Amino acid sequence: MSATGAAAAGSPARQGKALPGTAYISWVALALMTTSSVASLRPSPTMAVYGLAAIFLYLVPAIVFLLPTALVSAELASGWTGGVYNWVAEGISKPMGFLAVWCQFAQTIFYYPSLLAYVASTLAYVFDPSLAANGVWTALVIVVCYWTGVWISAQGAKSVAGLSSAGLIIGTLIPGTLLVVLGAIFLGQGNASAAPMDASHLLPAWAGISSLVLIVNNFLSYSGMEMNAVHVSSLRNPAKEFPRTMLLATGLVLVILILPALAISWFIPSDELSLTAGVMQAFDTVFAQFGMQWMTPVVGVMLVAASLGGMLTWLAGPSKGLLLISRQEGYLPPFLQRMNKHGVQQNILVAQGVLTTVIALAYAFIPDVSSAYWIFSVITTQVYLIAYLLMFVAAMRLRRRRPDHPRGYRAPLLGTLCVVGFAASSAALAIGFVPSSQFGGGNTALYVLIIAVGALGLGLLVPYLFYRLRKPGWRLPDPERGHRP
Amino acid sequence: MTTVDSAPRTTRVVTYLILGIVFLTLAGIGLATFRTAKSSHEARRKADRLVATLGLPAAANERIAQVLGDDGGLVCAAPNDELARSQLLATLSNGAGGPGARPVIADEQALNGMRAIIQVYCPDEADEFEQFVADLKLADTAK
Repeated sequence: MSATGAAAAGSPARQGKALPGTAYISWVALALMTTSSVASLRPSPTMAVYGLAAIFLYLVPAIVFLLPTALVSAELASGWTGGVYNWVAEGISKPMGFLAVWCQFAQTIFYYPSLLAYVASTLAYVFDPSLAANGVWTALVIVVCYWTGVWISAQGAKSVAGLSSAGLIIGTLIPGTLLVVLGAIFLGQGNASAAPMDASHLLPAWAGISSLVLIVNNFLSYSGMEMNAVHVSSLRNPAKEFPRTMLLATGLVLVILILPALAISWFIPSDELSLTAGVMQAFDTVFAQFGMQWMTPVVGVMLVAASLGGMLTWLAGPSKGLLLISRQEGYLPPFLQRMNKHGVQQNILVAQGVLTTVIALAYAFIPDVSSAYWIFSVITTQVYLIAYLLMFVAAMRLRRRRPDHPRGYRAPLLGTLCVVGFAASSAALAIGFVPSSQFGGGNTALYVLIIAVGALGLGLLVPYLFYRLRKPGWRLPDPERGHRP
Repeated sequence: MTTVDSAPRTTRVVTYLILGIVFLTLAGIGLATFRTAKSSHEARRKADRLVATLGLPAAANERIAQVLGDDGGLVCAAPNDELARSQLLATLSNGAGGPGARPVIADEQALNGMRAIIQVYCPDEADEFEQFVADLKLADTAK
């Protein structure tokens, strides 16, 4: 399923010509990497609360956001290598390309501590529930897992492809299938579904702006579909294989997000769900129903494997794009552009790791940080949406200005897809300013100010400073083109 | 043209083996240490109360007793601790399984299960938790 052997290097637009030196990964492996980046069982209990309406809540965003993102990035990757930085650089300008990949990179900084805190909580459920609120345990799990991830990512794309694919299969596809099969058996035994499964429950309740926030924010369920395109040059024939990659990943993502959530809603009434214990309690409950609770710790460790596999893809992807454009244009100091012997952006990963460690320690030990941590996920997703806006604009411009550039795949109705994707991204950006549950009855203006300042600072000010402070001497040959410093 | 983007096969295989051993060990420790909640008299009594509180079918009693035991499991480990709350707040989010996760205005019933579990299994924590829930903005977004 994973990598398919070492062979050749070459220009991303090589259209299948093999050049000696680089390791290839298969399109199936890249599809699994992409799926691993986007989908997991983690949100299943949250979405199970909506019962049958979970289908609507995933399908509508799939039409207006997943489909445009997948098809547009498939066309772009079939014509240009390097991922979002290069697409935007070619379609708009190089500074905008840097901005796009910076936004993709920056949004991960606050993601790792929250993802790994979930890992710590999952392991606590298995070993000792009292560990879930233990700062030392949480910090230890975050730091050990993160730096192990850096060590693996430093081995290059094949290791990441192999492990993230394995993580997806072991920790998402197998447990997810088990959940759905047990759910089908449960219903087949004549038990009534806990959540009503009739046509009148296909749509969620309409609660005005709250429902709009729920639906529009769900667009972001599919964010990351384009991220692994940075590895497109590791495919033997990117032009033909990347569209297949996106097709397979799209199908898998939809299945993984929708079916397990539904299965949980068959078993457990929404009133009985405890979100703190989340997916672990859901599995425990299902296994208790079938007298196989001994499986709970095994599935817990499998879920951890999936989370860490997904983390690997995020470590390896955006930082590589950042490296590629920085070497071309000198946007980052030479220290950060340094690669290891496998051609991996080692120093960017280490610098990010130091920052992540500091954030993780603050998260684990400073109550004010942990209780307000959710706000960073709003800010970072706002920042990520900037990258999507730029990608859709770049795709339209490239189709219009360079219609004859060779592309292995041409997305049908690209203009419409870009308009819909841009509108969806804009809507998600706007809805990000509506205060969420966590903000309670706080001052809306203050909320908007915090989000705006945070997003502008992280998404625009930091990359602007890098841009302003760049030096011509910081330009280094592009590793994708085969030159080593 | 010497772009190298991967460690040698031997290094990768060794990495896979190490990680395989680590995960198998974790699973082994999990199997040895995971305590299925005992369906004791007290556990069943509390499950009865939870079933009554939430209006669940009586058939759910045994299953709840096996999962929550007599102490409420992870839910009652430290429900008012900031770290635990932080993880709870993170679940009041959209349906993203990756970095697209962001808060939403959650449904009113999303926390019903936890509130009831805390009232039945760790009532000492209930008042503080209720205050925490009262400070959240919830809406009726699920049917």
